This record gives sequence, structure tokens and C-alpha cells, in this order.
Amino acid sequence: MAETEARWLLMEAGGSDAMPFRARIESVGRRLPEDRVTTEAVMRSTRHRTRIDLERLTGIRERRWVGDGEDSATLAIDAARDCLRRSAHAAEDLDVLIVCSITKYRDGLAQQMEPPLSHHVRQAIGADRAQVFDLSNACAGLLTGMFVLNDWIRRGQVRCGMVVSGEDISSLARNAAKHVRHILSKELASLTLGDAGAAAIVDRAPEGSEGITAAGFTTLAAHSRLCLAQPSEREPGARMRTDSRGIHRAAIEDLPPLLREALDAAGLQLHDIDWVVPHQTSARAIRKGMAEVAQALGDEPRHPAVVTVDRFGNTASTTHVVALVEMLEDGRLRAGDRVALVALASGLEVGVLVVTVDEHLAGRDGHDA
Amino acid sequence: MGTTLEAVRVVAGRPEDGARRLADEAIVACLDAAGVGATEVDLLVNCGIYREGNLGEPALAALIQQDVGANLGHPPVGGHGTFSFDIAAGACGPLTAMQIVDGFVRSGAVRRALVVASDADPGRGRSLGFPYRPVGAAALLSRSPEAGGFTAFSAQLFPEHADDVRAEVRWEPRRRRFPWSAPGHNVLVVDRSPALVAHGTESAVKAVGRTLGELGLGLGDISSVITPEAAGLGASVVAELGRPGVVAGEGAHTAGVLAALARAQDEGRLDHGRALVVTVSAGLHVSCAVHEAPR
Repeated sequence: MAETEARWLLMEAGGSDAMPFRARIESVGRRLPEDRVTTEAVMRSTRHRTRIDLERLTGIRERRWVGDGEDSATLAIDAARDCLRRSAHAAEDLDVLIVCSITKYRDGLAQQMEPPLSHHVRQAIGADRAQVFDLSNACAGLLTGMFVLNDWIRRGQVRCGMVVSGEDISSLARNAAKHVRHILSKELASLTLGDAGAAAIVDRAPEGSEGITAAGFTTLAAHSRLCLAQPSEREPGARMRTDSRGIHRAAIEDLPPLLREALDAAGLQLHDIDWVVPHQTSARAIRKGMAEVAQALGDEPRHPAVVTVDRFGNTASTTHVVALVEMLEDGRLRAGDRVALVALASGLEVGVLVVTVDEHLAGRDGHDA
Repeated sequence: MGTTLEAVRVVAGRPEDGARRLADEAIVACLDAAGVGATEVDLLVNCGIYREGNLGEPALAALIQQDVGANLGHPPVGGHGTFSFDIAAGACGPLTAMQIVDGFVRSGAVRRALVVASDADPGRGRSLGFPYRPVGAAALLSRSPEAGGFTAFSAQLFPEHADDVRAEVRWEPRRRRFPWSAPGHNVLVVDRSPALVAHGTESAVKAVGRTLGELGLGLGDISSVITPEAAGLGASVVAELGRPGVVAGEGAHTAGVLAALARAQDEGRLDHGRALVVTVSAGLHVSCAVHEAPR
């Protein structure tokens, strides 16, 4: 089945002889640090008097930042354990474990390059059978990991795998606070960042069960240099420089036809989607972006776009799963609901996973954040 | 139907070369050798680790995709795009990337994909004693109607040797040269144990035994063992396995196994028999791939 014929997205949807199985999200988990930092406090910490009302611009009231003894590794491990607690699977059932974080800090702000962080997480949770590797695709990393797992499960190569991220990314915000001077600063977006861990188990759906119905990704590489992050030259941790307006322009222009492609592949219209869970950068940008998408497609989902950025900030690759956990906890997400997880990340990476929630996922009990 | 190696090319750089430029050059050489345009690539997976400025975001693959001009425009309905991302599995990265590509090829989602690997010193003041040669390599993989090509992949961990290779970017204080100088720097440090060759060889032999056993094969069924040189580890693995070997890529890191595959292809080792590709990386992590001559 040649599924990329005449498509912009690298897409997998529907079944075929080569893909006899369906994958589903079996369980999700998260770890949110205890320390709450308000936007007012972040802006008070800037070295220069910026006169920027970041809360009004972004709708972000607060975010969580790591405390002593927490880093990317601990956030990932705690999220993986939370996910396993809610799962019918044990760690030793995992055939694959993919760590998808941008940040890979261990023991403070030491970015682990080798062995990959996935080795450490594997050992910590006891996933002794799992093949492991790290995958890096900016804020689309976790969904890209799900995309790979979806392919492996649909073909029968594996039965069960976990994607996990631990984003200890607040050092970028702390560093940006020393450098941001005005509203056009390339580091302004760094002030929206929050820390979180997130994990999801993807497994082979039982016969007749719901699951991932379509998954597609592409890289609009003409925009690859709109957001760049690397270790700082002046302080521990990293710095990120973002052309937020450029990214927003590209997203508004290119997202509608790509979303249309993904929905077509799933045989759906936008009004068939109950919940759109976009990457969480700013509440204002999400609402404006969804209005533009609705106008371009002449259609809209059944509910307004899901927003968590107001309370957690932009938690990088973890945002979609952090939102899913919350929606399951508060009962918004029910069996049979169709969810579009929409990735928009530096690169410029655009991805869509269309997922129908099954009884098993919807029947999970509450989480402890 | 199988996933076949259409072309593989290696580019050796100079000490001042960056990893991204080496990746770009390797891809251009690889696509030229195959007579394929960059716009025909559906998927680009980068598995290099050490790059300019220790860049963390975006995926280096996106920058490489832009450099080589693989489907950069706006998405017209009915058009064709390229998806790119990075993976990290040390020197085993290229085989892990090939395993990912193989999945999408077998599902029909991908017709052609690039696996690219390059490493270079991240830059002046950003590393301490960077141990690898600047080398880039790229492999073009495609769907073939014939049986053969890459038929099996495996990966095994030996965590008892997890400390044999360690690399991190960490903050190191340093004396200020001027009042306005930074009080330290974020610097890449790579530590490799002298025991790596012995532990790596022992782990590779165990992993090969398990992999072949699961496939119902023995060492006598293997026509060639293909492995990167990796500071003597490759030669040691080949000697221990006792099969004809192809060892190349001395001094290279993630590009090493692609250099070995390039030599194997040049020598016609992939055209007949059953080859076993073996890599060892930090963890210790051993990856194997079985390549069958096209039938």
C-alpha cells in the first residue's frame, strides 16, 4: 500500500496486508514539579526593565519549575512510573522504550550525550527486555516517537512500547531573564517555558478496539532556522532564540492543508473531531490559530481547542500527554472521543495523530500530578 | 519486498569542519551516486551525536534537509514532502535508523529514505579533547520488489559495562581573562575506558550468538561480518567471530558503520551470501543487522 502517493505528509492510515494490527494509546502518565512560578514572578526576575505584560500576551498565569534533585532524568522516570501504574502492562512487557526529550539533564545541568538517556530510564523502571534509543524532534519529539511505535506495532514487529520525555527546560527561562530587554527579543518565548515529564504506553489494540486511526508528519524545512537552542556561552544551561512571529505565520499558512490531508486519510471531517490538542505555546496563539484553521477549512471541531498552557506553560515535548492526563482525570475525555494531537515544533515540524479513545484508556482512574 | 541499500558515501573532513556540513556533503555524494534528486526523499533520519555548538533544537536533520533542498516549499494539496528527525543511539544509531526506515518502507509509507551520520568537534572552547575524526556518511535506502536487503535487526544492552563510554556537556568554571568574560563554559567531555575493546568484543560475541540463535542461524551461515573499526574494537570482533570481515571507518564515530557498509558494497560483499552488520556503542549497546543478497 503506497500511502505517501500524492501526499505532503508521511502518512500511515488504514490497514493492509503489511499492517494487520491497530495501535492504541493504552496509558498515559505525567510528572509535574511542585514549584509553581507565576508569570509575574518571572517578569520580576528579568535583569532589564522590559515593560512586557507576558501574561496578557500569552495567557500563561503560572508554570512549574524543577526543584532540588529534579532534572530531565527524574521527570522522565517519574512520568514513566506513573504511566505504568495506570497501565495493564508491567515494565518487563515493554518491547521498546524511546526517550524523546529535548533536554537530557542528569545530576543538575549536565546534558547527557552518551549513553542515551533511554538507557538510564530503562534501568530505573526495570524495562529489562526493551530495545532503547533516544529520539529528538524538538517539541514534536514525543508524538514522533508515537509515530514510530505506531508503525512497529501495526506491522506486528512489537506489541508494546513506551515513549517518555522529561523536560527540565526552565534553565532557558532563567537565562533568558538575564537577556530579554523588549518585546521583540528573540528570547521572549523562553520565558513561557515550564518543566514536566510525560509518558505514554502504545500497544497493539485488542481485536475490534479503537486506537490510532491516522498519523502523519512532515518537516517544512524552509523554516528550520526559526528557533535554535544550544548550551549557553555565558552560564550553565541553555539559551533559545525564536522568531515567534515567523513560526506563527508559517503555521497559519501551512497547517490547514496538512490537517486536511490527515483528516482525509482518516476519512474524517474536522467536525468529526471531539478534541484538538495542539502544542501549547500560548493560549492566545492557540485560540487565534484554531480560528484561522476553522475559517480555512470551513469547519470546526466539536469543542474548543484544549488549553493547558495557562497553568503549566510550554512544557516542550510533553505538552500533548500532559493535556491528555488532565482530560482523563477531569472526565472530559470519554470512550469513543476522537482526538487530534497536533504537533507544531521547531524544524518546522508538523504532525497529526488522530486517536479514538477506547474503553480501557477512558476507564483509568485519577492521577496524582 | 525488501529494504535495500541503494548507495552509501563517506566524506572525511578537516579538523575545522562541522558535522552539519559533513552530513550535507555526504548526502549530496550519496544522491549523486544513486542518480536520485533530494526531492525524492520521503524520510531523513540523522543519527550523528556531536555537532556545531552542541545544538539541541531543532533536530539537526531539519537543518540538513533545508541545506540539501529536500521539499522545502509550502505544502500544496497533492504535493510531496520530506519528514526528518534525529535519533541518538551512539555508534549503533545508523542501524537503529535503518530499522526505523525499514518499518516505514515495509508499511509502504516510504519509498526512499536517507540515513545520515556525522560527528565533529562542536567548536573552539566547547569541548575538551574531542576524540573522534570529523567524518560524515549517508546511506540511501529504498523499497525493492526483490527479496533480500536488510531482513532482521536486533539490539541488546549490557548495562554491566555502562560506564565504559560516557559523554556529557557540563558547566566547567574557568578563570576570567577579562572582567566581562564568562566565569566558565559549557563543554563537551567524552570519557572512554581502556576496557572498551575487551568488554565490547565480549558483548558483541554474546549479542551475535543470541541474534543468530533467534533466527535459527549459525556463524557458518554468515558470509561476511561488517563492523566499524572503532579504535581496534572492529578487528577484535571479527577475529573473535572467526568469519571474513569488512572493517572500516577508523576514528569515525556514528559514521563508522556506514563507512564499513560502503567498503562492503565496493568489495561486492553485499551481492552474495548473508552479511552480518555489528556495532557496539555506549551502554554497552550492541546492534546487529542481517543483510541478504538480493534474489
